[in-house]
Amino acid sequence: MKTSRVAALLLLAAVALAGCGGPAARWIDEAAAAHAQADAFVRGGEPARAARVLDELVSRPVPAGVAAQDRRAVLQDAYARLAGLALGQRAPAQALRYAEAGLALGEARDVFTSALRTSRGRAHEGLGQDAEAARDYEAAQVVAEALLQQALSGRGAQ
Amino acid sequence: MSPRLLAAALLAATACAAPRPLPRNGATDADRAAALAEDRRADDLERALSTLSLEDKPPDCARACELVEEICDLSRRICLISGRHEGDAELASRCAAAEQRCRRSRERVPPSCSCQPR
Repeated sequence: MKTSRVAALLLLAAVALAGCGGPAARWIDEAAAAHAQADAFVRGGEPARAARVLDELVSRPVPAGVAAQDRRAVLQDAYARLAGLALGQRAPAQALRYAEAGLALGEARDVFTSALRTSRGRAHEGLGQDAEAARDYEAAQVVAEALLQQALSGRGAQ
Repeated sequence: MSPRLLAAALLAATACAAPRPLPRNGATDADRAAALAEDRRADDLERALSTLSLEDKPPDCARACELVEEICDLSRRICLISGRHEGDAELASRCAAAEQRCRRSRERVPPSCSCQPR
């Protein structure tokens, strides 16, 4: 998922939670800050440090006040990025673990599932598990096709 | 008929429909049935109008183009795998289905979006 889309999503969630204050809003703010920090590390050629920041984000407990869909979106987005970073560092086994962790939070017809299925497919491919890779790519493609339908009907990305 | 024209026609139809008085105590079953049928027609029109207003939104071309590229990239990946496993009927069929999805996606995007292949 593009960084601008992630930023927009986090901003949206932060705005939605702004009135609530408290730990839920703080967690969303921290997630946005972690992504910004990871962006800076990636730009500076330090993907391992970017991964550490995001790994810390997914490892910390999520406050009870965070809505289930926000929790899933923020965590799955971070897991997909972590999987992408691991793939970039030629660590498919690590990428597979991250993608699995993200998908374990639930699948839907959205960008998160599509990104995680694609990452898991690439991880499987890196591990020589071609049949599993093809299945994941196909699942990602089916979700992307549904998202295309939404984009064409002017309902934008979900 | 374009969605806009159809919406206008539906609006005109609702605007022209004379308000029907509520059945009084002495109303017959036929009156009540007619009132109910009219309510249903009004609900149907309302639903049709909301659907039209949704369908009438312009497509998100940037996102659509991005998704088409994603779909076709996934198709390439699936077919590369299939190519490495000659004789695997399941992978060959996945490749064929994936290519079809890629083609279908390209065809679904209106020319006005003018997607540039990467």
